[in-house]
Amino acid sequence: MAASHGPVVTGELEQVTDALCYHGEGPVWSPTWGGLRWVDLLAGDVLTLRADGSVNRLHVGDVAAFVRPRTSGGWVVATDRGLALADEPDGTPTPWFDLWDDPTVRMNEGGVDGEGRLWAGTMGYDRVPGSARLFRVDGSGDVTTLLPDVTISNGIDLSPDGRLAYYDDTPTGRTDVFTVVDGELTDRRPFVTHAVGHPDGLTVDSAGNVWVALNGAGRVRCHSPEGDVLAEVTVPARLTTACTFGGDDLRDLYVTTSRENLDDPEPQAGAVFRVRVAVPGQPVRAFAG
Amino acid sequence: MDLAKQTTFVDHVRERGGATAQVAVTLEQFFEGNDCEWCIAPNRPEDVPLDTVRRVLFELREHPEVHDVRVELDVLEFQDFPDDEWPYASGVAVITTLLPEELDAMTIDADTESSGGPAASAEWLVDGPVVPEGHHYVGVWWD
Repeated sequence: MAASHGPVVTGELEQVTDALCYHGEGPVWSPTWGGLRWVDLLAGDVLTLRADGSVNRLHVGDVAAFVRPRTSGGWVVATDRGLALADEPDGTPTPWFDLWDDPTVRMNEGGVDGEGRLWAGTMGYDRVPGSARLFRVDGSGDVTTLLPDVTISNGIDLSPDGRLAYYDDTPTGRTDVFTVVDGELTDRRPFVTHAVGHPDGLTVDSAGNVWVALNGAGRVRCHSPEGDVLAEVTVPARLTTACTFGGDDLRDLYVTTSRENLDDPEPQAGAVFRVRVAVPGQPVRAFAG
Repeated sequence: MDLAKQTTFVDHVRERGGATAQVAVTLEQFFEGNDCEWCIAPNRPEDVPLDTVRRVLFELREHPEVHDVRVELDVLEFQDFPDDEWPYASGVAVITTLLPEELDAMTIDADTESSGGPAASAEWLVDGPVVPEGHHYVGVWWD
C-alpha cells in the first residue's frame, strides 16, 4: 500500500444489523439503491440497509446468491441456477434465464468485470470437487464458461487498473490472481495461501490491496498487492463470508456473516459488521445487461 | 435412507474407482440422505448417534486451522447395496495445521481413536483433498 503510512484500519468494529441472516453473503454498496444490499443466500432473500438503519427483505427465489446494479438503473440477482433482472433500484426482479439444468449445482458468488460483463460462480450443494464453474454473462445474455473445473467458486474482483483479477476457489485454500488481457482471465497463479480459515468473498480497494473474508476464522485480512498481510479485522462470528466497501467515501468496510451448519452459532452470527479503514474501496461496477 | 441419494452416491464412488481403491468424498456427499448408523465409527457407544459424528465433523471443518475434511471410504463392500447400507468409512482425512493430538481433543465427542499423521499428502486417496502450503494431512480414525 504505497500511499499510506498510517493504520490500515482506523475505527472500531460496529455491529450494523441484528443477526438477521442464516447465511449472509454478497454485500454490495451502490448509490443507485441507496446503500448496502446483501443476500441471505439459502433463504433466497435480498436485504437492503436503509439510511435510517432499517432493513428491507425481499424474497426472490430458492436461492439469492449475489446482486449487482445494472447500468440501466435496475439490478441483477443470481438465483438458484439463473439470473433475474429488475428495472428499478427497488424493483422486484423477474427471471431472465437459467444457465444450467443440474439441480445439484447452485449459483454462488459473482461480480462484474471491467467491461460490464457479469461473473457468475457456482458450487455443488455437495461440494463435489470439480463440479462448479465460473461463467461470464455479457449484456445480451451470451454465456461463456471461463473456468470449467472449480469446486466452490467464490470472491472475484479486479485491481484498480483492471489488469489483475483476484479469485477464490475456496477448497484450494488460496486466493489466486489472473492477468487480464483484452478482458480475458489469463495466467492463473497463486497470490496468497491462507494459513487460517477458508477464503470466501473478497474485494479490492483503490490502492490495490486485497481484502479476503476468511470463513471459519472470524476475520477479514487485508493483503498488499505483494501478498503481505497489512491488517486483520476480527468479528465475533466465526463464519465471515464476504466484504465490501461502502459509505459516501467508500471507507466503511462491511462484513457479512453466517451461521450455516453451526449447532452453536455465536449470538452475532448472521449480522453485518462495519469498520472504518484508511483506503477507500473502488466504486461498484454495474452490469451492462 | 434416501435411496435415490444412496444410488447416486454408490454410482459416483464406483465410477471413481471405489471397487478397488479408497475414494475421498465431501461431508455433504457422505452424510446427506444417509441414516445408516454403522456406516462410520461402528464401535462407538450407543449414546453417540451418527448425527453426533456428523456434527463433530462439520464443526471441525469450520475450525480456522482446518482447511478441509473429507471422508475416506473403504473399498466398496457390495456389488448391489442393500437398502439399509451405505458405503463404509473407517476414517476421515483432515487437512490442517494442527497436530494429531489437537484433533483428538476436538473430535472426542465422536469417540475417535488416536489420530494418525501428520503426513505431507494423502496421495493414496482418489479425489483426495488439496493440501495447501503449510498444511498437512491428519487421519482421524475409529476402531
